[in-house]
Amino acid sequence: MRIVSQGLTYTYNKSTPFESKALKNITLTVEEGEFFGIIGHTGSGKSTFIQHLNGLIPVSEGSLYVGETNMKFYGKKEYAALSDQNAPYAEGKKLSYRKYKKAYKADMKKLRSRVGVVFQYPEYQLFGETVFDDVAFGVKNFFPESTPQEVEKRVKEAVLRVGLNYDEVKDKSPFDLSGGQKRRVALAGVIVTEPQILVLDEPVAGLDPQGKKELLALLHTLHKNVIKTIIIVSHDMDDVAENCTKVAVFSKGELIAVAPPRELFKDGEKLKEVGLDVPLTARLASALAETGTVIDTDFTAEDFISRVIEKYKNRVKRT
Amino acid sequence: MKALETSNLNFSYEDGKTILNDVNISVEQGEYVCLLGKNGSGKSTLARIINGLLTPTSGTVKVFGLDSSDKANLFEIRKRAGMVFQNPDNQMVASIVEDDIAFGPENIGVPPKEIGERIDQALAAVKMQDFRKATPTRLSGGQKQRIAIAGVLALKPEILILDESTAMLDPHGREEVMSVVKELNASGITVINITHYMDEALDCDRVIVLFDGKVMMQGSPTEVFARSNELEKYGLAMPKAAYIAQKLRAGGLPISKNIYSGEALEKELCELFHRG
Repeated sequence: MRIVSQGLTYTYNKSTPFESKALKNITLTVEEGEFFGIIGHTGSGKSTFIQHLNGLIPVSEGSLYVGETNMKFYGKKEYAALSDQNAPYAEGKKLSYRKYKKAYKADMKKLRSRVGVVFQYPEYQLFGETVFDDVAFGVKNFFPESTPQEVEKRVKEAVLRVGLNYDEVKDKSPFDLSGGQKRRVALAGVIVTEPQILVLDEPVAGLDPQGKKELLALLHTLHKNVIKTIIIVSHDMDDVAENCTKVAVFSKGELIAVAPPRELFKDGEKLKEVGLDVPLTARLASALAETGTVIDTDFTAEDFISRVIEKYKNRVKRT
Repeated sequence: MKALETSNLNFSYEDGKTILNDVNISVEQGEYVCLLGKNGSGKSTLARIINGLLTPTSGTVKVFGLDSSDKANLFEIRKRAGMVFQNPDNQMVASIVEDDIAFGPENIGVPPKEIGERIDQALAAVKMQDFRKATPTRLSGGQKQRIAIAGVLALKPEILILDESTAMLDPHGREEVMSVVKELNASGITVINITHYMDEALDCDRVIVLFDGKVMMQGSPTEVFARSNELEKYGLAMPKAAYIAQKLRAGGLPISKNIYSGEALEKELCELFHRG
């Protein structure tokens, strides 16, 4: 499933004195298979953007396709102006507005089982009496026709996939687990529907260094084995440089750059202009470039280190 | 007198789970100490015991010589050791910034006239003078945490305890808060910063590493970060610059051993390639 947005615009509190544009004309494609990063300051529009991806905020201006699903939602007046041919879900004849709304809602529900969103600090949203109940909620909600055996199978698989011991945790209260484990339970609750796209808002915020390393490794494993596209929102440029295949930069509601880390961090000026940092490797590389040493790197720590060592050895050989 | 002294401090829950195991630490007045440890290492429990929010199972905690196990001392201890927590949204009690800051001093019976002065001073210390009449909910995370710190400062504490106070902030907000904390420390307030951001520990006076409720390492940041294998064993990591410096050194580059910050590494690398 690709994500294609064109001219996506969103205004909070439209037609009120508090009107503010949270997204301005976002045209962006996320290909299937990416480990995509979204960066930007608090208030840059990145959270508003990801809330569009599973229909939590209906598309009002511009267009957004997630796979085959058209995320556009027509207001009553807008819908009335559509012709029979252009109206969604119409087979020759336009549906009544009430029926259209119902069809759109059903479409969104179907989509949400395929596009999972994990919000910031998802462990605050756990609610089940047991880990099993919590994780099973998604299955029961999205696939109500599942038999208890099917539910159990899916829950077990999801819990194992997030690296927890199923037999050990399934009957425990999620609130008795450690912070890192709780976050994994929350993640299991989302991947239990086997989404093709997983969106995570600041997935490692608040974790200790080891917890962070483990969770990122887990996301890569999921990406390799079960989830086609992963999108992470992050403040941490080092995390983005280490993990993402492509990065979108948001600032004040606008999309100001989309590029792989290798290109994006080569010229840090654009990021600095909007008050964002560059990863440490990029900072070191640009300082070295000023002394006349160009390091051609993808800005992951390992790549940077080996290229600097290589450069140094060549120098020593020459002199 | 020490600002803080614990002796053979133990804490366990009723189900027998041990959280703190014979912790002996002391903090000098005016010192800036970072308490590092992975999730579940016992660091937040320790903070809550210092402040009298939890009572130790055995052992003692003395804040400026006052024993926290004596309930009569708690009022005084909480006045002198102020605490700022992790979630900025959970620490606001009023709908206007100045009322929020006044809450503490009002509670301890500071005369109204003096409260006004304290609010001014506290807001100036965290550089939020312009927000006196603002609504806390409309502030950024970094600004909210600075207001939370101001609320503590209005009680004129001698120790400031930060319990992962920057964990939920973006890099910019973290910087704002850390620079305010550094200035407060320079003005004489003892600071105990509980964190798992290694970078924050780079310019403190002393680092204490907790693991499984025990003090495992103690020393200057330079001493502690030099022992990278141990840090990893305790679920922590070196600052990224230190990691890169170490790998480059292993690869044959003559990089000094005590490089922990990005600035220092940048300087050394540039000199190295410039010379050659």
